[in-house]
Amino acid sequence: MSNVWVIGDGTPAYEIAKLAQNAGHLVFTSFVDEKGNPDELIYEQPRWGFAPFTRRPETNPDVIIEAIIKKSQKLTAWRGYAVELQKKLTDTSMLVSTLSASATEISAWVARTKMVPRQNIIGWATLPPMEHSSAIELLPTQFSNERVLNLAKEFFTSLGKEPVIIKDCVGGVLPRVVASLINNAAYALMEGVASAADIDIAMKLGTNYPYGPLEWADKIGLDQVLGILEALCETYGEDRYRPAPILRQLVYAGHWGERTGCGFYEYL
Amino acid sequence: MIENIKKIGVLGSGTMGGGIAQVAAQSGFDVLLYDINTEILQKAFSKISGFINRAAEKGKITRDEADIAIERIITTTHLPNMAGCDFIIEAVPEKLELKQSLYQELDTITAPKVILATNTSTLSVTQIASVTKNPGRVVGMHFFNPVPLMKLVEVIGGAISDEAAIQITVEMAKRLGKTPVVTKDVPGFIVNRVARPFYLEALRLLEEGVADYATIDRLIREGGGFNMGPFELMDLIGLDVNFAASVSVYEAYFHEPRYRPSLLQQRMVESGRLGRKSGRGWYEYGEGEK
Ligand SMILES: NC(=O)c1ccc[n+]([C@@H]2O[C@H](COP(=O)([O-])OP(=O)(O)OC[C@H]3O[C@@H](n4cnc5c(N)ncnc54)[C@H](O)[C@@H]3O)[C@@H](O)[C@H]2O)c1
Repeated sequence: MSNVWVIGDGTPAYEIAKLAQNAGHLVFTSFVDEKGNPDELIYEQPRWGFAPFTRRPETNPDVIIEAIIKKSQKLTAWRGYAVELQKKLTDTSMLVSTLSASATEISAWVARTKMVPRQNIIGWATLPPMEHSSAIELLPTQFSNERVLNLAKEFFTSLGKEPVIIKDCVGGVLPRVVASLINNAAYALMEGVASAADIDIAMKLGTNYPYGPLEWADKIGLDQVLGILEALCETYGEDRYRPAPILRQLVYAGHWGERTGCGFYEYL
Repeated sequence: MIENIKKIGVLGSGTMGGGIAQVAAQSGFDVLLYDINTEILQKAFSKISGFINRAAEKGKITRDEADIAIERIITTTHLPNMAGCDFIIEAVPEKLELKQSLYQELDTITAPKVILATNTSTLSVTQIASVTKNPGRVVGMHFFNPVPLMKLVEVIGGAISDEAAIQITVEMAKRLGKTPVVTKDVPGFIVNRVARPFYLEALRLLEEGVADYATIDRLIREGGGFNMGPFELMDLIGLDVNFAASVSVYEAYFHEPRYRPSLLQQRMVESGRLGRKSGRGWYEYGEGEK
């Protein structure tokens, strides 16, 4: 059992925290707001059903799981926590979400705050819903040491997810493929090709997808999907990843999917 | 309207037409199956009756049901016989001129209220309809292969299809035991358009060396819950067929970057490693696995 501190802003953070708690780890959870500042409101959201967690670890955590989606939020959050903690966590391993930035890039920022040395940092990637998945992506940087690699493997194995090592990149394998599918479905919806329900039915029956892309987006969180696409767009500078305006509109409107009660569909 | 439909005409007795005729007969419709010569029709008929008989042997339907279904199918090489049909589904080869000339004939043979539904995968329904005097009754009815197993039917309203024709086709799909979805006449309709990134992003990840194809497949399956990874699926579909679909969608959307085909896949196609059908694609297949 380890002392795990989960920091995030959406469904991935929630799911990891829940899985870690169920696996018997001592879990602390912090949520950040859209700017990256600690947000107790998000934390209190009844939809998370999150009451059992305390906010900050009392001692130095063994593992920090970072699951913040936007780059700008990540920066603010790490600066904030570095100031707040006022100490170097030289023995803490940090598993950073690579949905919107490569582990190498995140390591560079974290190294600047001097909170965690960059050898202790490794990337991870997957997508909600995680309950049925049995594999998770691990993205070591050129600096990641054996210790963090082994610890990350052990941690995810303890959650029932087999770690699979891939090259460090933005968006990993599954998130990049699925976010692109969702974006493409969102364009089709926006262009009036078919209704959201018909698009989802078609993809489930016509190609055997586990979820329709739009209902999947609602499960992941539209904020998260948009974050992945914006990061891919910025990284590759290619039109191919430009997010569908309808996705952005829904995110602006606060319709982030199941978690907020409304996304491509309504949840009552 | 739909209650009056008793007899379905099916044009083309190949992979799709044969499957559609089988499903229609098993759903209680009389079927008139048309093709260019009796030899082809005989082959198609024995294939269809074989499938239906096998269903009876397996106990999925009764012997009586099988016999009745087989009796419902009549074949013809004489197009004007289609005059007796209440609903027509066309599944002839994917060639615009061929389909258009057939629709021109059907337009004069059949009563104007009879719906003409095309099973085209890549052509524009609107363009096929445009050569008829009653384009409002021409719609798309896109079945999936194998027709008896695949539940989905995309019902495509062309730019000038009548709303009523679309609705009747939706009802017809339901009567055939299918789940219809309604889509506009856009390249790839829903499935073949929305699915493109499943292959194209996976190919890019491979090109960038993020992971090898087997690892990508594994992460998509075990991480995402898909039944098959993109590379396994390409091998099943045929790399050439899958590549052609990407090229066709890319061209049809005026080179939209989201659909840009993969150079790596093109090289694979050129190499002749086309997937299961050639014994090797991304993966190698023993004789038994093909
Ligand atoms: N095969 C698939 O997976 C699939 C899936 C969905 C849609 N489709 C579409 O269905 C249509 C048929 O495809 P298929 O795979 O069944 O092809 P196929 O080659 O198996 O069958 C075509 C049949 O049409 C017959 N034919 C040729 N010329 C004809 C004519 N002038 N008049 C009448 N019949 C003629 C052929 O003899 C053959 O029996 C195409 O438009 C295709 O795009 C195919």
